[in-house]
Amino acid sequence: MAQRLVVDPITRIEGHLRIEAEVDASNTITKAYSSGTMVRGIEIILRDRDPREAWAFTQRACGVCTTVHAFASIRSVEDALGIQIPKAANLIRNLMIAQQYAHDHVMHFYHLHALDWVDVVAALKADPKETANIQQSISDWPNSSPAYFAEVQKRVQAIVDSGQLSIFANGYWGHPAYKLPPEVNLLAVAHYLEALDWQKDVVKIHTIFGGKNPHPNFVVGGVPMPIDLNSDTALNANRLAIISDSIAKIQTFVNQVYLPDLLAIAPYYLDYASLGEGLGNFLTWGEFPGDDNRDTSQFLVPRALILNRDLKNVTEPDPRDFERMKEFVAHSWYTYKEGDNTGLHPWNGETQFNYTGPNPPYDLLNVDQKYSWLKAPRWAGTPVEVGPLARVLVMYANDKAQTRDLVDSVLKTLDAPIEAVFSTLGRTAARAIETKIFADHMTTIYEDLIAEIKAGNTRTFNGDQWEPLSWPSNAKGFGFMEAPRGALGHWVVIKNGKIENYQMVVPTTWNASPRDEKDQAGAYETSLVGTPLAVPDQPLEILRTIHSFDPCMACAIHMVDVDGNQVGESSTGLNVCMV
Amino acid sequence: MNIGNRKIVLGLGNTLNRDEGLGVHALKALEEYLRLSHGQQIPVELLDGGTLGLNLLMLVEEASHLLVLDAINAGKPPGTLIELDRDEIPLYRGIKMSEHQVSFQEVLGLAKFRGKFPKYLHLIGIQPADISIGVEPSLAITATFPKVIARSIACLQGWGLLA
Repeated sequence: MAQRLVVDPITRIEGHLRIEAEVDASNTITKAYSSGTMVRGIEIILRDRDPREAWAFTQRACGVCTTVHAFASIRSVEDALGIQIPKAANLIRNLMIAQQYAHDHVMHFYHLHALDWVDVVAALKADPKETANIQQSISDWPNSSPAYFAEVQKRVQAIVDSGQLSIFANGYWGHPAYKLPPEVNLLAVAHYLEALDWQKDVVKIHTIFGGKNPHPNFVVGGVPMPIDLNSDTALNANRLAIISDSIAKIQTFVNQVYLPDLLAIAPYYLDYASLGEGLGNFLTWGEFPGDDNRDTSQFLVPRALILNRDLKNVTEPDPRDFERMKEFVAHSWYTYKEGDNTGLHPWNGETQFNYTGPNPPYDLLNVDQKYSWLKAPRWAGTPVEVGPLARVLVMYANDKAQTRDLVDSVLKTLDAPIEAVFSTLGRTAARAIETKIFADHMTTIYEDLIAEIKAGNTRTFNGDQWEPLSWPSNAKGFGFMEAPRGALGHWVVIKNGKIENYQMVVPTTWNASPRDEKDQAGAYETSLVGTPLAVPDQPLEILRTIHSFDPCMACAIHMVDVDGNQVGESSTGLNVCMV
Repeated sequence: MNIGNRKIVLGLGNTLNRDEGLGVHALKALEEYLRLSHGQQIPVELLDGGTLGLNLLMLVEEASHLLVLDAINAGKPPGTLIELDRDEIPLYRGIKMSEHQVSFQEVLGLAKFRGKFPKYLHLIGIQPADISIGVEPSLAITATFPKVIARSIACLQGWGLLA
C-alpha cells in the first residue's frame, strides 16, 4: 500500500479535522481522505423546542463565527412562518454580516493562514529599511518607518532568544517551501501583530447591535436593538458614530494592509495558482438580501451554481428542491432508515449516529467503510465547493459591484490567466477580494440605514407572528447565510408550535465532506491530489490548501468525542505522524 | 512594560467538561468569599474567561495585576495545587487541556510578543480529576477550593490589593 500521511488536527483553532493523504514514490499526493472526528448533535438537542429559541442553540456550534448560525436559524423560522422583517432591521443585519466577513477573513489570513506562507523566524534576517521601502510602495499605511519595523524585529528576536516561540511553536520554520524574502516576512509579522489591535475596534459593531460579543443576541422577526436617537439604551447618535468609525477602520485596514499584503506575498507562491483546485463546482446560497429574503434578485451575492468552471452557464439552485438537495451517509458515521446508500433532503433529514470506526488512539481510518462524522451533501448528486472563491466567481459571472475590476487587476498584478483563480492561491485571493467588496459595501448599507432613520422608519421588530397561535400547524423553512467559510443552510420543520426536525448543512460539511455512495470525493479530498510534498513528514503544502478553505470544524462537527479520550489531550497546532 | 492598570482575577475553562471548568468554579467560590468579607467593595475584577481564547488578549494586555485560576495537567494526583509565578509560566501549548480556540498560554505569549505583558501575573492551577461531560466539578476538586481561596487572598495581599 502507498505511504499514508496523517495530519490531525489541522486547524489552529477549534480542531478535529483529520486528513489522511497517500503519497507516491515521488512524494506527490495521489489520494486524500477528510474526516471529522467529533460529532455535533445540535440537531438532536433542538427537537421539540420552540423554534424562536433555536438560534441560541445553533450559534453555539461555533465560538468563532458566532453570528452565522443564529442568522441562518432566524431566517429559517421567518421563512417557515412568512415573517417579513422591517427594512431597518434588515440593514442592521447586513451590517453585522459584512462586519463578520471582514473580521473573520482578516483574522483568518493573519492568524491562521499567513503562517503557512510567512516564516516568522526568517524575519530576523530582514533589513528593516527595505521592509519600510516595500510598505511605502504598496500603500499609505502609516506604520511604515524603518524604526517601526526594527522594533517589530526586536520583538521577534526576544521571543526567539527566550526559547519560547509560543504561538508559533508549531511552525515548520526553515521549511524549503517558504519562499518569501526576509523583508516581506517581517512586513507580514508586523501586520499579524497590528491585526490584533484592529479586531478589538471592529468587533464593536456586533457588540452594539447584538448587546455582546461573542454570541450577540438575535430575535425572530427583526433585531433586538431598538432605534431611538434620544435614548441611552437604544441605537442612538453616539452608537451610530461608533459604528461609522468601525466601518472606516475596517475599510482602511482592508485597503491599506490586507489586500496590499496579499499582493506582496502572492507573487512568491505562483506555483499555488495551479495547485489545490479541487472540484471546479461551486455553490452559493447568496447574501445581503434586500427587503425580502425570498427575492434572490435583490442579493449582492447571487444564489448560484457553477459546474465545471463554466462561468457562462450559471444557474440558481433551489434549496427546497427535494430531488437535488440531498445529504448522503455511505461513508459517514450515521444510518438512514431507508438504507445508507440513499440520500435525504434536509427537511427529511435524519441524525442517527452509527459509529463504526476504530477505537482511538488509532493509526488509520478504514476509508473503504464509514470514516467521518460529516455527512456528504451533494447538489444533484454532485460534490461542490462553497466559500469565498464560490462567491467571487458568482459575483464575477454576474458582474456584481467591483468584482470584475478587482479580480482582473489582481490577475494582472500577478501576471496570471483567469484559470489561476481555480486554485489554492485563487481561494486565498478571493477571500481578500470579497473582503474589500463587502467592506466597501458597508458604506452603502450604513447610508441606507441613516436614510431610514431620518425618514422615521425606526421599527426594528415585526411581532405580528410572534405568538405560536398565529402559526400554521405545519410549516417548513429554509434559512441561508453565506458564512465566511461558505454557504450555510438551516432547514426547519415546525409542527404544532415546536421543532419537528432541524438540519444544518454547514460550509465545512460541503468542503470537508467524505466520499458519497458513488465514491465521489469531496472538495478537500480532491484539492490535495497532485500536490507534491517537499518534506513529507512536514506537510506544509497540505496545510496551505486545506487552510485556504478556512476550515472551522466546530461548525461541521462538535462537542462529543466518541469515548471522551481526546478531550484531555493537548493538541493545539499540529500533530503529524507518518505511517 | 504594560500600560494597563486593571486588577483582574480570571477563571478559565470549559464548564461543560466538569473539572476542565474548575477555574470558573473556583472563581465563583472566591467571589462568594470576598462578598462576605468585603461586601460591595471588592477591589479586583472577578472575570469568567470561559474558553474565550484570543478574545482574552485585550483583557490580559489591559491588566497590571492578573491572577489566573485554571485546570493544569501536571501529572500530579487530582486536587494538587500547582502555582506558577509570572516568569515561570510556559508560554507555549501544553497546560490548557481544552482544545477550544487558542490556548491561554498562547494568549500570554502574544501579549508578551506585543510588549504588553502584565507586570504582576500569577497562576493557581489545580490538577483535575474528571474532565468528562458534566456541569459539576468533582468532589476532589471542590474540596480544594478553601485552599485555592486562601492562596488567592495571599497573592492579592502580596500585591497590596487586599488588606
